[in-house]
Amino acid sequence: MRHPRVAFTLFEVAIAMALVAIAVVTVLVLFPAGIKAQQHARFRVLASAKMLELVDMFNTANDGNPSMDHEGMEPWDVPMAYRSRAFDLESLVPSHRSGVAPLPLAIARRFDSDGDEIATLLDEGAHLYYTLPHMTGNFDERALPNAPSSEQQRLVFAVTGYAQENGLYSLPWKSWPYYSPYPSPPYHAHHEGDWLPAAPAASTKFGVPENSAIELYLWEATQDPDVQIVMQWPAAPDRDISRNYGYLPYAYPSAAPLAYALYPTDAKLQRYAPTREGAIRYVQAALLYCRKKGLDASFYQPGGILTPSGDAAVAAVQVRALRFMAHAATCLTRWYDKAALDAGVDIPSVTIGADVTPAARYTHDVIVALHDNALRLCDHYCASFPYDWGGPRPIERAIMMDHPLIQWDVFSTPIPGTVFGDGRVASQWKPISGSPVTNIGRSISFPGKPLETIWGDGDNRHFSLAAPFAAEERCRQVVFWAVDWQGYEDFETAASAPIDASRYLKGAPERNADLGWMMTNHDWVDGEIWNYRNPEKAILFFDQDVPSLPTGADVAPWTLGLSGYEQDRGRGDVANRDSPPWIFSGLHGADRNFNQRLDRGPLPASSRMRASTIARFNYYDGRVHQCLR
Amino acid sequence: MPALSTAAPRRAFTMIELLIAVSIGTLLMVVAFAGLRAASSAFATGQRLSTENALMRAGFIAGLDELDFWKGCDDPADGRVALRQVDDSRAAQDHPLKDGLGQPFTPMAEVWDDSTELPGRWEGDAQRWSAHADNQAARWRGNFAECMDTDCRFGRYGVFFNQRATLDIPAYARDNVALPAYGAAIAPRETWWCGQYRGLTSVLGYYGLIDYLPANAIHASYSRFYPEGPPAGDWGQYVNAGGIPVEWLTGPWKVHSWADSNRTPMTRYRATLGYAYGLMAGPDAPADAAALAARHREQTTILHYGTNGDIVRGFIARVGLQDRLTPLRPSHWPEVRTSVLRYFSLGKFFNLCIVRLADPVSGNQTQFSFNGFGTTLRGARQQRDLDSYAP
Repeated sequence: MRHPRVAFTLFEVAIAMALVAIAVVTVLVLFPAGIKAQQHARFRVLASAKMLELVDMFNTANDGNPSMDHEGMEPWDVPMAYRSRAFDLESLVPSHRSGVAPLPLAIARRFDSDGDEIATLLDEGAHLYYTLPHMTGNFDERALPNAPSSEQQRLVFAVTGYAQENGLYSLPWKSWPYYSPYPSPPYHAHHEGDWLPAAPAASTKFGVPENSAIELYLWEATQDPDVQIVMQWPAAPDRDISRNYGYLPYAYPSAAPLAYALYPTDAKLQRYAPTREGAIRYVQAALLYCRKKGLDASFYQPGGILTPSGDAAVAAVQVRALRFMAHAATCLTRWYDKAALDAGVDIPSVTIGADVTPAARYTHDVIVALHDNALRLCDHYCASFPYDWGGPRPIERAIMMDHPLIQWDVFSTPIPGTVFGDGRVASQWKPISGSPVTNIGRSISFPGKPLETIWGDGDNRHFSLAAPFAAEERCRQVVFWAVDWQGYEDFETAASAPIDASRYLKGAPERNADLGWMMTNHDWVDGEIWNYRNPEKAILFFDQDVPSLPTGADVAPWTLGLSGYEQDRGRGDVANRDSPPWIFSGLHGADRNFNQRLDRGPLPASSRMRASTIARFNYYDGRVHQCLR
Repeated sequence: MPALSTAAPRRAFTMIELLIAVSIGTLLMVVAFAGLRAASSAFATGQRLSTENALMRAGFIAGLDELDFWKGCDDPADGRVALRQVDDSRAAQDHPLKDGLGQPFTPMAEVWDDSTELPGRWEGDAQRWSAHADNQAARWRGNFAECMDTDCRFGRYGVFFNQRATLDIPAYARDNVALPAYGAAIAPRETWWCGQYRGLTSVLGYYGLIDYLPANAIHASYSRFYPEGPPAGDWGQYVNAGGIPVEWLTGPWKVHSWADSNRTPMTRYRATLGYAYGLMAGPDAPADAAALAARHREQTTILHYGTNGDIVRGFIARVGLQDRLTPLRPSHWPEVRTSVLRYFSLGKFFNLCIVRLADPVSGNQTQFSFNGFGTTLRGARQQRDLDSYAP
């Protein structure tokens, strides 16, 4: 009898081995998954930190770029009209001062992501952003050490969801609010002298001896021609200084020709020494203005607190008159001591041309009362009539409510026109405000242009800034991905992402200027135009030969932020690859890890990478500019 | 009958079977070894990442915690209260209040209380600081055109707006400016704002001043007139002809921007366009109260107009509050350090946290930084009841 065979068949062994292999492989696979989970956990920490900073920079950073032109004859003539200053995270935050820059588009296009989200965003015009390597602290990059390795740079992020229509950063025709000290003399400003579209109808212009290209002019007279009386009366200066009345002959007296000192230094102070008689003539001019406005002694010589007017037009005039009167009368305290003033300083009535000034008596207490009333009535006027632009707002009390709510009326018939200095056709919706703007007057930059016709049809249903809204309407999302983009061979030599044209510093219209001139001929005061630069500005290469340097080469001498900030400014020949337009656009790449060496990763540009989704953060997307603290 | 053999014929493994068995065994051992090795390596890497992540999270949380509670600057439980000191070295010369110059955490009552000459104490009531049109006490009333070299051609704004309840305005003759006396025993129209401004600079320094004042405040106020300097035994300051303390217009303690010809009253944005005022809590904070008080009133250029790299790095070191989170860690563990820098520049409060991780095994270093939200200085002081005047 034969025993049956009792051994595993080969098939059984194979099955057993397969089971063992599956078990082992499963265990082996779990470990890398664990590592990946740890890496994701780290990126989530880094993303949380970055999101905190984004929200902080979005909501607390001052977004003033004071060396920008904020006014034009038409809205498309100034770059801050809408896009560059829109209160959207991706408009305001990306800059070298906020530590955020768009990733080069050539690199961003190589990423695969869940649901092709990155590709979809890029197709819709969004950018993918990365964290600039140095800390975000408003420090001059030249003073900072090389940045140590930061895995934060492996995070890229984008803003999803659509931005809403925002309130205007400022009205491009007239960048209201205008601010003035209270009390103060008539509002005057300097101008290059090329009045567009025409010289203002009512405005005194004054030469500046030190710079004949600049004229000073009396802007406030464009709103009320009688203001000329307070500034200088008669308007044409008399060579005999004793026959000139007003602020200018007092503050900056001179023989012929009447001159104006823009920056009074010691030497000029002696050259233009004011006199007591000049102060009295200034007071007499202010008194004449009050009389012209129908204001009696209770205003120009108050004994107590005045009652604010409930009529905007009346209130604006009263506020203006008191501003001048208080400023002029206070000058007397330079020439009379308190004892003399307590006794009363008589200001005699005089005849100036066809006008007779009222007589008045000023004491210390009356001057204090004038000052008090100038402030009080101004504050009441501004609080009561936020949409009346008949008087500048007090700079000592600059508050949120000074800024009117204005948006583009997207249901209006667009304003047609042409780009100044270029002739190309342009158009823009009309603006609409929360309440009708009254006494709009003229702008400081282009006082020859009437502004009454810029508004929409007045259908307030088109105004939505103050409308109720659901929470989800103002919710957008920042999505973070992790991807080792610095592994690419061209991660430092790739060109910057395309920059929105409104990011380029552009001057307002000038006479005889073409668009090219306006695009290039202006001062680049870097600290004051920080949002009008390539966001990679501080790390840009400015030499066309840098991309061909050997890996590891020292690039500090050719990095913009380390070398003086000047190579990307102004006009240049686009055929010359080292000219400013190339550098501004970042076409030579950037030291994107800020180690001051030229780096190249191991991966060819032809390869693709998988970007892993790390985190999503919802945030509140406001529609009007705000700055917390 | 022949015996039947019941034993099975003996059969050994064939060579083929043996070879197959040995091969299978070897394969299994190789697979198992490779698996174990990979598992071991992955486990170690995972453990290290986990440790680093935990430390990184700890650094992040420590930064947030510091932003919220300011314990690195002022921790009474730990005895770290250097920023509560009072510099009384110059009390007799230029301090208007009680004992000297304070630091950001000096209790209000220690320096600013019960003055017989000056009105009020710190009044943080929102209604007192309201911009309401009827609240004229909170209104700045000075003259913007009053630069360092003013000749007061636009008048004596010190009579509207002053720190003193009664005032003498003597003759003035300095710097090519000559002015007659205005008079004695003058009662300025408003004193509250100037008192608050001067008091805050004295108690808290300039970072604290900016933190406490409303965002739209104008930085300058008017003081007692000592054009030739204060007499011995009296407090006071040099002032310009208008009455603005010279130290606020020029010199290292100024609160004005770079343009020398524009040394006039300014908003905080303009005053810090390239400058910074910091909270000097760094590790090299001097124990000497006078030196520390001076640092809290110094302006530092940190952005290009006149930037000096050494000065900027020195500022970062003085401002950076550093904390080693794992001083007792095993020597092979990564070390994590958190720095928190608080300063004001470009019209913004910077709360900059830097977390650094150094691996002693690999020698690798990494860091990340962020600006975060946190409690204001005023909030931190209120947590500690430092603004109270209660006995």
